[in-house]
Amino acid sequence: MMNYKDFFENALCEAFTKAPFSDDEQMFNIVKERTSNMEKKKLRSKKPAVIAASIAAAAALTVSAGAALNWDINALFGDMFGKKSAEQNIMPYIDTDSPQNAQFVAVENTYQNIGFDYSRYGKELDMSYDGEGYILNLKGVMGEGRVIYLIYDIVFDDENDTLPKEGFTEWEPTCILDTTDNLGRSLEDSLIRKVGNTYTYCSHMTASDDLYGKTLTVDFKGIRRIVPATSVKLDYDYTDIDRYEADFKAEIPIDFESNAPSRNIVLNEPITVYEQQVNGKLKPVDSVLYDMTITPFTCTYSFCTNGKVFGKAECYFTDPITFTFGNGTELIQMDNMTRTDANTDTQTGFLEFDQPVEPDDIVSVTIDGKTIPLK
Amino acid sequence: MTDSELERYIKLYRANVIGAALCYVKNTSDAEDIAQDVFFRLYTYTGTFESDEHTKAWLLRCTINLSKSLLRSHWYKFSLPLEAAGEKAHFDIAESDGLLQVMSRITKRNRIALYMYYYEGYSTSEIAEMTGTNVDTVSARLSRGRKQLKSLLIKERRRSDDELQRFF
Repeated sequence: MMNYKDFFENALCEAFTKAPFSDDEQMFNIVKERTSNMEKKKLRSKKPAVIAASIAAAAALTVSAGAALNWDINALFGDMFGKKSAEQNIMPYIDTDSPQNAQFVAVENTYQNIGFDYSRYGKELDMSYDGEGYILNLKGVMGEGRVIYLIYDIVFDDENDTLPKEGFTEWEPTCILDTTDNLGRSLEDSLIRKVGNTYTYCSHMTASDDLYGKTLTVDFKGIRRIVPATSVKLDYDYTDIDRYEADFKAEIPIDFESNAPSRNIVLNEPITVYEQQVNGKLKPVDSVLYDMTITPFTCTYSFCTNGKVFGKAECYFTDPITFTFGNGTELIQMDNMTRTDANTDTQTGFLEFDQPVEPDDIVSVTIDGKTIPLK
Repeated sequence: MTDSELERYIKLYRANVIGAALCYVKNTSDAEDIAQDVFFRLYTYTGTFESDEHTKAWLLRCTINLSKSLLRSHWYKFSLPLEAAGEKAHFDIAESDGLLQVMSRITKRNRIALYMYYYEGYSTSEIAEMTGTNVDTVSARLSRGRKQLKSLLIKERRRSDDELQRFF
């Protein structure tokens, strides 16, 4: 069996043997010398430009609440599901054989929820930032429980070259969402629409706890155009060019009412899940699916395995999970992984639907070929 | 921070900092620059640390942040390190052989997750906090990283490198 610690230890030994790193004493002397030259370094740094941008941002930021707006929240959010982030889009161009790209295999969903009313779960925003070469408009925020979606667009000045370069390129804003109490987060920026020089994005955050009543902080750092790396000397995944820098922060209270219906079903049904082994193979494991909680955007489920106490970071896969609706249509969810972070006898999975659902319309769920009716 | 404290921390954690930096950058001169920046920040840091472990976690978090900043910077893609100009031997790990090359070919995000988890011994939640992501993402990266490393080692095995053979 492979020992990962040994692998890294030996790889680093190679690096230290072959490479001309400074030794401890040299490092100490360099740090001391740099400290004495600190003032000079400050003068050479780029910080003044950032500060200037920050002042400009403060002056340019406009916020209004409750004003009549020109956009419609349903139209804004209607297009965003099923979109991939710029990074996800670019991954298949780099290594199409990699197992990590298995998730990009397209699935045929027959379920569509065209008439979904997004306005029940969010509010419109009217905030803008006048950056150098572009304008950023925050337009709407929506969510329920642990997930939040933020829609904004970036309007590039006409003189900017927004056309694709040779090969695949895509603009990606570097935007960080966080909540004031620093809940765990996962963020993706997805391009959902492009009309002329206007790029509409959705930033998406998953937190570890309920987000209602919190304040969402948007820290907008800039925009970059990402392209696949052309040389292993650069970044192996992707590289970026044409970065527009910014220093813009906005605070958005998540104060809209939680209208999301939640459906909890106790199941106690035997299922097969797949344990991720150290050698990369998946091992089938008999388990019992305890329950499922379904909301319009998410599904949380838990299972146990013969009283086994799961160790730290043990991963199980339950791919795919198919949700069947009353009208016979199906929504197939891929890349469903569960994990535990502490010793416990229950594994919990959390998935976000590729498009919003009406929880009461789901009649059955199929996991690893086994169909379980939801009553 | 006093000179003797700095000296001690360099002695204790220089290798860990360089190791973490090597998970992001592809050549040793950039890793060296990052390490210098990290210890410079430590020296000028005015806060206090509760323990050596706390200091180490701070140093690794700082390494991750500085490495990400370097990779994002516009000039990074178009500038040559000083060593490449011939003043000092420049060592590109992607062009090396053996385990180091294998390590460099693991996807960057997976590589740092594997390194922090298996080599540094941090939990997934600690790694999530350090790398600014969430626990599920770290678990997924660990899982994918293991798969990727295994597959890379199998490919490299054909080169009959003794060092690689030890892992089978």
